[in-house]
Amino acid sequence: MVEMSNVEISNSSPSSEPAAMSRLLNETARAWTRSFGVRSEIAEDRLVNELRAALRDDMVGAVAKGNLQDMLDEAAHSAIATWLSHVTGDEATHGANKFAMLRCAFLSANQTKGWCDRFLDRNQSCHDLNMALQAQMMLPTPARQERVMPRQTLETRAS
Amino acid sequence: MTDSPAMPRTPDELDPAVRLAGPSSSVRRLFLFGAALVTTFYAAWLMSDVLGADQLTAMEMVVITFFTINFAWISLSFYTGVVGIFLRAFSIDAITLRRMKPINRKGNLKSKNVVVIPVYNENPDRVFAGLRASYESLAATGEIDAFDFFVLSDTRDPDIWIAEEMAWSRTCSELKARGKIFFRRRSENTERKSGNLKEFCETYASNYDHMIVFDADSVMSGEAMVNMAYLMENNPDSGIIQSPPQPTGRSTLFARILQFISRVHGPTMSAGLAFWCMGSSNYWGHNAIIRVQAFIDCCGLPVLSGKPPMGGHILSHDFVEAAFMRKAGWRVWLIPQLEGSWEELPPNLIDFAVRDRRWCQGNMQHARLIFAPGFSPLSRLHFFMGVMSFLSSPLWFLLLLSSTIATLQNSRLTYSFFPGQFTMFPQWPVDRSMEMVVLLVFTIGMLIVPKVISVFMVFLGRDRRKYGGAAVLLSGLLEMIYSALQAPIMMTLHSRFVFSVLTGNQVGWDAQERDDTGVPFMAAVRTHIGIIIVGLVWGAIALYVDSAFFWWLTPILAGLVLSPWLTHWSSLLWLGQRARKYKLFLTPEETATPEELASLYRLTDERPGDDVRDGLLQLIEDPYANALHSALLPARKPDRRTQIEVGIIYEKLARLGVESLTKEEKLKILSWPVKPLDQIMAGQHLIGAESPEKTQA
Repeated sequence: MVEMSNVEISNSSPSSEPAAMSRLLNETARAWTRSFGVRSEIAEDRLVNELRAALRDDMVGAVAKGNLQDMLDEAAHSAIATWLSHVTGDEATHGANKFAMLRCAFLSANQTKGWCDRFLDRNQSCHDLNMALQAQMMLPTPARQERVMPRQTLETRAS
Repeated sequence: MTDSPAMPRTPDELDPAVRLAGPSSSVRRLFLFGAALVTTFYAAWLMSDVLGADQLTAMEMVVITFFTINFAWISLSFYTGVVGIFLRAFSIDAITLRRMKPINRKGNLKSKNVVVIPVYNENPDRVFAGLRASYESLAATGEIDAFDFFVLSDTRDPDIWIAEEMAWSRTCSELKARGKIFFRRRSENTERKSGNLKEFCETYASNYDHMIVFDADSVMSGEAMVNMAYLMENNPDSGIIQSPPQPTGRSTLFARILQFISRVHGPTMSAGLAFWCMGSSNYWGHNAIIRVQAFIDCCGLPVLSGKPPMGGHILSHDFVEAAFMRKAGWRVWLIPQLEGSWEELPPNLIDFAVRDRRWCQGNMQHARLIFAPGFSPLSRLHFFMGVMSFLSSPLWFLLLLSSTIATLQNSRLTYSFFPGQFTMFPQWPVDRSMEMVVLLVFTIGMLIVPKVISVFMVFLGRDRRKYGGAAVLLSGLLEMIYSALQAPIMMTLHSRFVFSVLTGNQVGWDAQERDDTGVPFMAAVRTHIGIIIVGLVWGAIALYVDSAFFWWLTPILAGLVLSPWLTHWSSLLWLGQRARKYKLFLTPEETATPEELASLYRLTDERPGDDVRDGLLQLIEDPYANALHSALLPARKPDRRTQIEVGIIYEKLARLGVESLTKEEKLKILSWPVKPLDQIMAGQHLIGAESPEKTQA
């Protein structure tokens, strides 16, 4: 999981990075920010830095296993989920459903593109964004109440 | 009865004014079945008198047997109608036998209710328009807090699946009903609709006291739903309360004729049924309210031994669920005066027959339950009636066939004036033509008199303008002619269905056609070619045997030979609209459209089903649809094999595009969170190029 502050990210240097790798990082970051309806270079840069840091931490293992793109996707998911956790105060944002629900809410709240530059920004207060997200949160199902519906038989009286 | 769940009202809080109870159910049944039995015996005696005037042949005995069985069937229906007419004419409540009163609720609902809408490959815009119309009507009653809505999707079409999700999200947003309208899709749709409801019962239903089951095309008024919940609260021994759904909303001639007669005559039959069924009524699968706890406890359906179509999972689950409710001691009520309950009909005769084919298989399965231990006698009767609603067709067919054979035999016989030995007196032929006419009139009268009286009651009633004024009489007459011509077609189709089921053929599971779809003439000819040949051959034989017999058969032969024309013309939308212009087959839903239906029509006009497009493409392109889809998927992780399979499909998608994927591949990929286009394409430039580590080196 990527747990880096913006200060640390800014210390990462892309100078020795191959062009193909830079392009991959940029494409991945763009893909993920666009999946949140965010079109902001600042936000993309933030995510690129997060990815770069994750890559630095896990480079050898990921490349050896030959799943660099998967690793980057995982890192992007983790970085955004961590930020969403920071915004909402909810620890359980990494799960696929909760993450997707928050993505829905962000997309609805960000229809005017007013939150683009705030994406992945952990330095600003996020109370207003949290309010906007909560107002847009969907609830597909209520709480589960597991029960067993026993099959009846045609032999005896119903119990 | 099973252990009572927590009831929303204590005994002291029950409203006695809406108590569902009435005097002497056994006397009612004795009267009704007694009258039907006596009439059947009389008709059978009359028939044997007519046929046996000149000694009964074996074939004539067969004719009498089939006639008696069929007559018993129409006789029961006749007396149900007669009772219904009486109750309607004097505004008497079919259950309490007191003067009919509107339900006057005392206080707010105390129960928590859910409206469940099981869907399978239906047009999502239509489904959610119906939901929205019902929701808004419910909100207007001030009781919306007592209700949630739940769409239970079994959809297997990937494009409709995504459209359903989007329609759900849009509806929640527009109605500001987040947390009030829910959606879930089953990944495996075992046991069809009953399995869909079972899964709901085992996961979310226990959040609620009662559930109102909708069909995909159901709409109900808020008043009706609140009244049903109120009746449930105040009748703690009730397991199911069924409202009589009114067919509406279609505009083809076929559908309008059926809508008209259901509106005119349906209430008569519902009142009659409620009169003798009392708390042992049936459940029709939708537009009914069910006590959740009782349903969970005693309505888990058994699996019948043997293979489908007669074995396996139970298809027509509603009758069986009602029977299990009764078996466990819960009451099942039909409340005829519950208005504001609507459904839609198939638009033409072919789609109507397709639906009947499905129902036929389900109902024929019930033959295996008639003698199963523990069911109440009336539940057995409901099973029997369900079976007979299809089996009566081959029985009528056999009756007519045996009559033809008997006539053929008689025409070959030389009359013997001295049948006995050593007699000086000849036995003269007896002319029974008068009795035959009496029997015919008697039989036809049993079939149509309740319907005729229902039409006249509307004509003489206060609401006759809503039915087109005096034109209601002409509508009634035309309906009777149409149904007389349609009856032989349905007889042969149902006979074929029964034969098909009994010889082991299964039916698939398709969504019902819910648009005003017409049937091209050549398609009608292709469908009915067998029926036309049967009609022509039968007519030729009858003419060859006895011209008088041929004329007796002409109403049946006409229906068979004219079947393609009848099917084609009745399916035409413009003909239905033209009939409406001339005030024919009008119903109050057309002349004074209730708010709920007006809202439904407005919403379906705004979105005429155009929202279903390539679902996968939508997920790839539209981030919101993508996120929503991911959010609605069950939380689980793919196994290694699935990961590889999905990975291969993504490769195909990235290289060849969405069009290259099969429906199964789309379903597979949609079963897991879908990558947006940018993510799919990210890193594609590396494929075939040097790998990053090589580049680094």
